[in-house]
Amino acid sequence: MEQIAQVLVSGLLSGGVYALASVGLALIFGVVGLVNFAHGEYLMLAMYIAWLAYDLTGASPYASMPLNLALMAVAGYLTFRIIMARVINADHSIQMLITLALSMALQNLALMLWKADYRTVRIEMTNQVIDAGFLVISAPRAIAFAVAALASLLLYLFLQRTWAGTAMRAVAQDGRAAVLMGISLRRVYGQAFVIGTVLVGLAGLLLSPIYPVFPLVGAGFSTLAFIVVVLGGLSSVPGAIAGGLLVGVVESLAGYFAGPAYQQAAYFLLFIVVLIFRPEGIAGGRGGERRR
Amino acid sequence: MSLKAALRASLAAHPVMWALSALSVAAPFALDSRYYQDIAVMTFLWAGVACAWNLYSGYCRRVSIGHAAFLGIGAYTSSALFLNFGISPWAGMLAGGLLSVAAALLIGGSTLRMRGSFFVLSTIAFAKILEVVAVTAKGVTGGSPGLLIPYRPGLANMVFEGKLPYALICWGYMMLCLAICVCVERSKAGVRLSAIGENREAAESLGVNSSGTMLAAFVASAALTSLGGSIFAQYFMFIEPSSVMGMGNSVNIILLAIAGGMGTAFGPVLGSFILTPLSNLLRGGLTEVSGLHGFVLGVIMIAVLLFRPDGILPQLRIMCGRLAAAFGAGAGAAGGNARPAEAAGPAAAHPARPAPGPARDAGAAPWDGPVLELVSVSKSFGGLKALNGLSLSVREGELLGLIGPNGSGKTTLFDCVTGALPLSGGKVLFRGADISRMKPWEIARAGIARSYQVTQPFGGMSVLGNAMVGAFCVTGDYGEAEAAAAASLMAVGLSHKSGAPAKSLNIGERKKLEIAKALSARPSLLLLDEVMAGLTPTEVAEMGEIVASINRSGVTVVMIEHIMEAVTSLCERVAVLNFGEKIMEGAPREALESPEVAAAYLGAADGS
Amino acid sequence: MLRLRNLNAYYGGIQALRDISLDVGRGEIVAVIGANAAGKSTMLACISRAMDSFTGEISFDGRRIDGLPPDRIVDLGLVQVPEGRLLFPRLSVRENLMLGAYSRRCRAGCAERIEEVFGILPKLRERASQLAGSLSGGEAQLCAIGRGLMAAPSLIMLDEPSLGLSPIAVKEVMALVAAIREKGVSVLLVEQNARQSLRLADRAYVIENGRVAMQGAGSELLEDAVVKKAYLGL
Repeated sequence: MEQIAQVLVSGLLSGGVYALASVGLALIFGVVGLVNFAHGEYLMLAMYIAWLAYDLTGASPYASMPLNLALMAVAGYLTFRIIMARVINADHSIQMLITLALSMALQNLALMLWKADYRTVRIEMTNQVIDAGFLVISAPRAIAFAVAALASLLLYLFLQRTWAGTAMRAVAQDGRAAVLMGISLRRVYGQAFVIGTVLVGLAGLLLSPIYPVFPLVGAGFSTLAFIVVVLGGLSSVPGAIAGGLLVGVVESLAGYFAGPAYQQAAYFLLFIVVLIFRPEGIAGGRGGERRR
Repeated sequence: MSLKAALRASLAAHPVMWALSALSVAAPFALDSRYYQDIAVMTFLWAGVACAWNLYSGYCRRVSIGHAAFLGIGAYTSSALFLNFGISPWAGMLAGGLLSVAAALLIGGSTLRMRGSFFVLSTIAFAKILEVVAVTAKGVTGGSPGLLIPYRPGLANMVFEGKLPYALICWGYMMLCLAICVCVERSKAGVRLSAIGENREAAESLGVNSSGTMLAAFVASAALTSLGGSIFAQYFMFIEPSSVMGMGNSVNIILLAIAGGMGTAFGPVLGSFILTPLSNLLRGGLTEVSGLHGFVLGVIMIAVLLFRPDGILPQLRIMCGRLAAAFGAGAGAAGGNARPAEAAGPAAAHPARPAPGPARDAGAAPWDGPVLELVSVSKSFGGLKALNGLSLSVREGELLGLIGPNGSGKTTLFDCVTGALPLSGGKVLFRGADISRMKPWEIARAGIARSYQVTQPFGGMSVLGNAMVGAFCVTGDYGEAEAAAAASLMAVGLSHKSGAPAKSLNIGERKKLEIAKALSARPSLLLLDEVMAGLTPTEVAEMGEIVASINRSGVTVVMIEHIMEAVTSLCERVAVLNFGEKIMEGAPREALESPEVAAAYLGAADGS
Repeated sequence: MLRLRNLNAYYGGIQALRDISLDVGRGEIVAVIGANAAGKSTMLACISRAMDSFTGEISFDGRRIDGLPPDRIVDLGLVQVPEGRLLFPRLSVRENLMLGAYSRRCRAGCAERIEEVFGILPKLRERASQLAGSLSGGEAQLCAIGRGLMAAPSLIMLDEPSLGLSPIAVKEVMALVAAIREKGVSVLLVEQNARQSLRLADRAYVIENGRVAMQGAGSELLEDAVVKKAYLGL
């Protein structure tokens, strides 16, 4: 029983970070209508930034967080201005392919700059644990979960309580009407893209004390984020959060009962089942893909 | 048109590309270094695989990013059969193909109704799951370390000493895939696939069983890809999950096809001819910095997608066209990028018949009741009742006008008759048979065709190709369909445009094409939705003439129209709708002069 | 205050508007009527810059606006309530109204304006926290007009506000149009429902096949013979 609780808790903790890595994808899809296959590469980028800061100055990823997030915002903005803004109205397949090509370019750029080696950030906290009676929780995972939860809350408040956030939800529902309200679509698209990039970057830096970083680290997380987002209904932010937690728990349970080799298989299976029986996602009937 | 004829026609249309593909077989023989021969082998193999991918994703515009899974099924099936049972890879290849067919039926069948992005994501998931299976099922696949194929040269083992035999096999594979693509392009299936890719709903309204057609194409594409997978395994003599089924291969396939031009038979071949050597040479030349070649390739792809999203082939065609024009050679490889049925040439070969014959009711039992009968049909959207217990009957051979203010339910009525929308209540009888539960394509094949108010041309296809889609309701033969389409175009006066891509038409021509598309299906009942809206007075008069002549040829016509002069001059009878109900039925003048109709259009007469 | 001169618009290769000239004065209700596809909505799309393929001169309050982006036009106080309402179905009524005041000029006074709109449309107050997608057709239209008013327009353009509404809801909408004018806001009313709108309008234009076929005082055009010609071809 205690073991099950331990498994569930560690599943939820990973799930929190998965959720954070995925909300940005859902936001970008919901608002901009873009399926961003390069999403995971931005996670990789933030992990490298955290590692570089650690490697050069010894700063922990938490200390370099402000710099890291600022750089991610710049990266998101530039990507949007230089590439994405030009294909906003292009065919779906063109958009997808351009993000695929971008992902390929970024992976190889990382390979060029930092080689294929696994790089690790070894701060003191990496091996610390929080001993809460019968549960044992690794400290960096607990921090990651807490920060992810806080970031999700902030995103929620931003979407619900600010002009820019309300405009973003409006654009996601009806771009044509939003224009008549005096909302500039281009600006909102850009904002959503930057916020999505910063969020996945945050997930990356939180992961850096736990996971090694290497050029293909983003590819795995991209796939995971897609699964999470589809489970949540593709364009729904709360759905992505629920989906992230679910994937974390399923992965953890599968690892415990069937062995680590089956972790991935378990959530892929879950994904296929959901796609076939509830293509609109588990979180609600309204999400789904916007007609374009 | 037989397969031979399809190939012959393609040969005439693309002599340069065919020559290039066929003569490329000489390249590996001319190159005497193993390094360059290896590049040639890879170029042929990837060209073939990209062609196979194109067969589904290219023509019906649904991008599969999981095709490496089929590559994997082929590679693992032939290798496992060979290693465990000593079965020759040649036979193993076919077994892999069959297994891929089964897998494709499963994945294709369950994803048919998914929209674009969902489909893409499920193909990725499918490939990932197979990769996980390959890693875990160690007994058969060898798990992560992979499988090694023993070096025992011999034809039966499909293992050879030099590279040249592989080059021949891969070239043969490429030519097979190319030939299949060409034959499909010039067949019923190809025209239908392209139409589905452009606009699935409009294609179904012209008798295309989109699910069946797409599934067949997906299965064929998977099987061909799987053959390539077996060859892949035999060439490298070593396979492991990520090198065969990894995302990298799936993406590579797509990039080749896109760069060359997806949805064109030669595009993927051209893409591979350019990119595979380029990529290999880059990798060879840029060895000092690992990753540089991939980065350069990625940047090239982004640039191509940003600035030439149609790919190289269409661009090349335009350039060739210009060159040909500059040298005064009329018979160039020009023809724009319209697909399929590229040129107007073939149409000219079949002398156009006069206006397409009337209803094809030869086989149908004689029927003297109303052609179409709506029995208290209702349709609601949420709380809104768009049609409210509407009954209407349409007589054989008449030209009925359907009028009423905006939002009164006229188009909804058409949607309900053609099966585009399910009824909420009541039933629709066509020649006495209940069609309320039939699928749109079944209804189209039964003899009801429609035009759309907002015209729905298959923009990337030629005008003739557009008109051919419906013709396959009546015939399975490409040549006959072409002739029927040409006849429909003649009937609406669009023959001179038959080679042009449909997206280049202006609004008046689009409206005519809309009618020609419907007419090719040889309907006995034609539903026209505002075919005159937006036209100039001259065009309105011309369109009236076209509609009248169609009606005279024996086709029953129901037309929704707001231009009342046209209604009064064309129709002997009108039905007036308001708030989803029929408020009036009778002679046009009489109806228009009635106070109820005036109230419906102009608002209540008294201030109350 | 709104002035169109020689407006020509092109739509998919054809000319949808031909030499349209039209004026709306301060405090006026001007109706534009005409059959379906006559070009009425295209005209509004040009004014709001929802489409670009047009030539001619559009000025508002004495300044040229035909080169401005859509958000600047809203900022100037020229607001369109689109055909089919186009509410944001999964936002609440209150959020829909708020978005009407999105332009920088109006954000500060947003809360007071919402109260003001609720004052004119008490029905909306009851529904303030409901999702807009759950409103009935008539309520949705009132909400859309309310949303337009949130931008503190000096001219509001209503595109087919009575479309698909029951006769009672149409009356309600028309009463609202009159009330808007009482507040000093000019109205450009594009309608198919000719009789109701002509009764309300100070002046009116009849558009046929993309051109102005007739113009005059609303009451003059109300002569059935005239509009019947435009609509029913009689």
